[in-house]
Amino acid sequence: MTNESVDVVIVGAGASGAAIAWSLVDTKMKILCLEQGDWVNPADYPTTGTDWEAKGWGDFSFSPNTRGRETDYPINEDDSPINIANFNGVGGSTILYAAHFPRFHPSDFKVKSLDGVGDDWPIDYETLEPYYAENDRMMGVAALAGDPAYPPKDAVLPPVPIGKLGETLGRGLNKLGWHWWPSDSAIATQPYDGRDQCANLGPCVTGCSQGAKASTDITYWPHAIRAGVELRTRCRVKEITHDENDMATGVVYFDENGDEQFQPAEVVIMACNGVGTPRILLNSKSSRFPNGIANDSGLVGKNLMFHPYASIQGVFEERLDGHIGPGGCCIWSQEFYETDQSRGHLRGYTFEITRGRGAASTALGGLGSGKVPWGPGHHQAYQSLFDKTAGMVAICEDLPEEHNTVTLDPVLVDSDGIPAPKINYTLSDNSKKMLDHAVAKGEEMLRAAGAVDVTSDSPLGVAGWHLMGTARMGTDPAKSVVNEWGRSHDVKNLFVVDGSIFVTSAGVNPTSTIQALSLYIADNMKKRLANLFD
Amino acid sequence: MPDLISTDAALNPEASAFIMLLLGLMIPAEGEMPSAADPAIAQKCLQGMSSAESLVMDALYFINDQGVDFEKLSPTEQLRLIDTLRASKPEFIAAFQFNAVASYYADERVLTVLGLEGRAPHPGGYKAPETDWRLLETVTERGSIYRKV
Repeated sequence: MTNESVDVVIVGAGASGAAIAWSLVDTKMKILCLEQGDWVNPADYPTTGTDWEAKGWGDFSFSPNTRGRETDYPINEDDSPINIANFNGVGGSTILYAAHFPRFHPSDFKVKSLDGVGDDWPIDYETLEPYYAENDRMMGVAALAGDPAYPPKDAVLPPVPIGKLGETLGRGLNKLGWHWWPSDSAIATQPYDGRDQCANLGPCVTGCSQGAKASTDITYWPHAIRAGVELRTRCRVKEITHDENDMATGVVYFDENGDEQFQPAEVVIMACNGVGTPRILLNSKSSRFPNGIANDSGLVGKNLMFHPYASIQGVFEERLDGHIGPGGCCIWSQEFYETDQSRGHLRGYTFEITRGRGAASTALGGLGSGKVPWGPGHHQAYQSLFDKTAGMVAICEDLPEEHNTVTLDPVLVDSDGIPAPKINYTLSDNSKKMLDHAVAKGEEMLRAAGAVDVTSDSPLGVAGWHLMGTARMGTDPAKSVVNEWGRSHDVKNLFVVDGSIFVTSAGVNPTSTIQALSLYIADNMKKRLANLFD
Repeated sequence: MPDLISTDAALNPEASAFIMLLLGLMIPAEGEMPSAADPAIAQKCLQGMSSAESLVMDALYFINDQGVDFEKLSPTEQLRLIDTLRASKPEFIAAFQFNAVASYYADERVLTVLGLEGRAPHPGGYKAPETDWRLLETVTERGSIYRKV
């Protein structure tokens, strides 16, 4: 079945798809977004029940393979030490993200020039800065101005309270003379743009029942839809089609009944994240593009970057009220962010100090580590851990390597028969050294803060939250998939706006940069409307 | 074996009784803390384990094959046998611990004793104390640390 043609079809309603949909409404073009998932009802989020932790391990798990909803697609992760995290629905992975919202640093765009590794981006921090600021306003970012780890930037909302836990670790960092600052957080600390203010529920990563966390279903989308964008859910895109002039003609998708439909469009924008986008590009094969559309460079699906994570946790002698406040947003330290070759690795990482573990997670972790036994000693051992455990994750910069890939699995398919993505990934020596450094420094920090026992988990296997690099941007068509404003080198009405286009990964959560890039690309499209395809 | 509580779980009676025994062994009552074999808690765990009946029966057969009457052993001897079970049947132990913990530490009485107000986080939320930002004075005194390019 063929639908009525639109000017722009956006594939994916997550962080980047929402931002570009909102920005492009200025053009008065007919814009349609196709999303494979549903709208999520905040009343269904786990924190409305005392069993919120169990639900977070099941229906609201960030692993699509664990969650296994009808709207998810399976992912073959057998050849990766890091597993993929995502969410498929309106809002995409912002539904389950922590809302930890750092920007890249200026140095992150010039990795090759500064450190001789990876590649430089074709754009720089100054180019993106106005889009970071615009996105901060749209998402409602809580921050404290003056962070010495960044160029000056404004705070939209007051910072999140750091609580007893944050102050305890802050004092430890002060003893060492290390940098720390309250985290930039996409969380409404005051009523903002129709959103209620944060009620310090704790687990943002199972969805925000309060509606304070900036997931794009409650930030960009209401504005975009009110301005005329159509958002169609339960539409799973299979492939992008093209004509004899190498121009995209639209997309083929399966609707909620499993019926195949064709959606003609003048412009196709991919916004499906660093795994979903290469999956569809690679699945869009033709005699002209036998290796997938927009893949003359052969780089679609290559250079997959995660952020290798280490978790370092300490046990303290007093309770820390760790259940109060947004779980992933407290303070950060970027003491070891910029390159210092004396550390034995290049580039660096951010320490994201997290809040305490829930009651059930504490027990499960204690049973797993052997610190909490079965039987008569259970309660005493449990009480020595509960609300007395605090720590951090280190978010390490990953460097692009072509052998880290997303390909199409030859066997595994989703419920519509579309090939599933297969991940092949190995940790580099630089990443291993960086993780070891982070574990040692994290332990030093926790001991300085008063921890009496410290444990670590590195690399953190569940931590494939950040999916980047698989359709990289650049000026050379032989070395990149899209140009410096997100347009495919090979198909001049096909754009990519998600984390796929990252050249390098930096050492911070990527959502702020993904959305800034999406707004930047939208602006470039608007400026070039008369000759967009030249 | 203890009497089977009223439940709509799909586990057969033998498997249910085994799970009940393990719950009481794993988390016994102490002070204000109830046992995990408390009927309201156990019912949730039995429901959670209902999809893993084959794992439960496999574990039960393993225990029965040890040539002892598990129910009549002392708690210390039972725990020693559980260590053997843990080594031989890790999938069962993982599933059981997951469901036991998820049921026990979501119980309002347990959460209340832990100081968590015995309720869901939403809608009540929690009040956070004001932050003393003077803590950042040493950080700001040091000045800018980002790499100029």
